[in-house]
Amino acid sequence: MFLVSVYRVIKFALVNFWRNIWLAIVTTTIMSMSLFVVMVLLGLNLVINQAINSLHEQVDVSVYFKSEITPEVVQEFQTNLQQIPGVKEVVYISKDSALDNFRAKFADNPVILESLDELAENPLGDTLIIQAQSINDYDLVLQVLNSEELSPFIQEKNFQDYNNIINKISEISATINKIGLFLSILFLLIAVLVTFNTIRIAIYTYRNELGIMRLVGASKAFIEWPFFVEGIIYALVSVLVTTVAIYPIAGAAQPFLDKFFGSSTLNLVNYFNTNFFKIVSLQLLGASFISIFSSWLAVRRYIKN
Amino acid sequence: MIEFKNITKKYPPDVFALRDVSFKIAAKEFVSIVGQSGTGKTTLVKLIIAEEKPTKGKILIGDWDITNIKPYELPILRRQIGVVWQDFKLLPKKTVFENVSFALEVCGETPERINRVVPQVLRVVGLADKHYRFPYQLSGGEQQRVVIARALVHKPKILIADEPTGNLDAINTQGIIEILKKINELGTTVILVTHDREIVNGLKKRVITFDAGTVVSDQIEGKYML
Repeated sequence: MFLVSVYRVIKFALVNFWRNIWLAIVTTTIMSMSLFVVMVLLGLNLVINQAINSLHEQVDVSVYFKSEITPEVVQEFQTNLQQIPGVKEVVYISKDSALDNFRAKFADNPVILESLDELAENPLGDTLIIQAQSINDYDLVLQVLNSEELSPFIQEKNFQDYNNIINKISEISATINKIGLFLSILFLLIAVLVTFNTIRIAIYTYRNELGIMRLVGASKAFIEWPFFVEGIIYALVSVLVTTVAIYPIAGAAQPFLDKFFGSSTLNLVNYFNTNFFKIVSLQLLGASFISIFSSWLAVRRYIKN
Repeated sequence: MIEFKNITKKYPPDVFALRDVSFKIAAKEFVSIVGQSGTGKTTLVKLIIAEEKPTKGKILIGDWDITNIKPYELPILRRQIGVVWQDFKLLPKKTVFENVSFALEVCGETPERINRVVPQVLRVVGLADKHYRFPYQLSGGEQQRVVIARALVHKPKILIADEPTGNLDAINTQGIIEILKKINELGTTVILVTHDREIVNGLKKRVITFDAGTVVSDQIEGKYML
């Protein structure tokens, strides 16, 4: 008997959906737009975070030691620098490796290579490349490198400072997040109101049936559940529409994102493919919550015992 | 048994539909509730099916005090009370069979039981050959018989007919009254709410007369007095 009731509740909900098909289209469109805004916000956040992380990875300090400094001394500095809090890694490059790298870099420039050959000794010194855990940790590293103990040994140091770019991107990201959050809340509120009204009209359309149901002793659950199920149908259709729409849009947006953030930008289509079930489940959960909540408000307000 | 104990029903701001009404209706009785329009007859029906709650007093159905009935108990009560309204309340897009079966469907009855019970009740009300007609294809009397059939599908202990003949001609009126008498003879308590003098006088059954929300007369074999 329970299964029979479940079947009938779903049937009534589908009939409700079909009877007010235009309203159903409006409701699912609004709900899809809400989900879409949230998805765009998620996508942008992912891309921006990836861009920031990639910039963080690229920041390092190269310390070129004077050529007369022995490898043992440099390696001692390497050990000491690794002790500084916030230092992720210190890579040692010997003067021979540095020369090989140099030759490889200028392999197609015979003038430079000939000049090198003219020199009896390797003119380059040993190098240490320091990478910190986070961008803020470089302050301490640079402080140590500038200290009186170390600076006499150092020929030159090169700090690729991406801090300004990172700050700029973080600012853009924060602004996008604020606007996105505002739009998401706005669309969610509109979705709640539209769904509420759709269910209210469905209740009005069904007023005769509902009156008879009450009179003949239908249970409260049997009277109310078709409207909740109708809400779930809106959620399902909206998630389907959003999922179908997001792929071509993400694909079309990718070249622009790559151009703006660089070629190491996260591939959105791949990300959606990898996290498909997680994203769809979360969307479904969110959309169902909105629609069931709206239906509940309408049912509570317009269906009496 | 139905018992009204000192029932008062007041609608805001200060309209009294019923004032201190008390009576008992025994099981399997046929009672006519009579009175002019606005004397509280329909309010009384709504109180019995718990669509309204009394302002004061107590209502008992059997041993069950339904005065402050819980929402989850309403379906149980309403499956024991069939109601027939003057305006039929049929679903125009459903056939005779579907209109009757709807009452069982929404209560979770199985298709097998529906297919067994609905033809039975349609036979009782004389519509065995009109299963697939739509309401607009039926006369007023036939539509009212569908409503009676729908009220009977749960095999209720009580049947309340609120002005069931209000929209019918004399011949159809007589047909409906005969069906109600038959249902009563089969053991169902029937409460007929009407202001039709001829029906009441022809029945020769108990009559409770209302005026201005109060019981002015209660006769075992009564007549229309107003």
